[in-house]
Amino acid sequence: MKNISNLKVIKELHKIFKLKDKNKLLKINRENFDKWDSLTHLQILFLLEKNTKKKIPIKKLDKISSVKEIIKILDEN
Amino acid sequence: MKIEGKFIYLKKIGISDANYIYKLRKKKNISLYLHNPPKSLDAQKKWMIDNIKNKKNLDFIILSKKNNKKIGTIALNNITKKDAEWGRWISQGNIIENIESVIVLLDFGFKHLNLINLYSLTNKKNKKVVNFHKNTTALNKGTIKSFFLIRNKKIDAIKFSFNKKRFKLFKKKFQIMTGLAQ
Repeated sequence: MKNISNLKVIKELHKIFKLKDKNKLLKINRENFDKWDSLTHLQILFLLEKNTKKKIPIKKLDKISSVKEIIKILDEN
Repeated sequence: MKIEGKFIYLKKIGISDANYIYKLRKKKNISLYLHNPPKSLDAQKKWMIDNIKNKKNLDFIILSKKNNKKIGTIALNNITKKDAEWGRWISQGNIIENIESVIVLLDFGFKHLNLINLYSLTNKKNKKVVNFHKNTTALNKGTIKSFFLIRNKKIDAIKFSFNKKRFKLFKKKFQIMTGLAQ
């Protein structure tokens, strides 16, 4: 994790996925986690764009399939 | 009248779409939750002919504005003077196209058909879609026991319903998240 603002994002992810356990949060992926529906995915886009202040291409967004990948994008930006 | 959003548009289903719909509904991950997966292309066509004649149903093909390619289906069924069921939603575009197809359909139902409520009935086991509805601003109207019969098993449906006010909130939420809000 790069900085404090990324920690804030993790907090937001806990809220979005309605999950309190950080270890569980880091393990979930889109395929096997029922609460990761298309609206949740759109919320992730919103969260990423808000925090990176960059437009995330839809193709890139569609490929995101785990929380680890979300964190990677945050770290890259 | 063109039923459209920024990313997708809807076209009334015709018999020429039978092959596309047949292939779409036969896909393994999709047919899993359908209570009437088609047995053959002919059966699909016959079902569509009857369905098109039924004035209580409006079925649409979802097309991407990016390339005019078909990306799925969506419908209003059991249309009465005040309400309709929205469903038959199979959308395989990108995340924004998929959600916009719902917004565009509901907008059409409320604005042009002047309906008061638009509800959905979802297979309880289709948890991703159930969660989708939970994440919208629709009201959870509860469970309807043994509503679906899938491979000889009775399965409950969960009913969610939008009125105009709740739909406006959902539309606004979508517009904010996609940067379409003015």
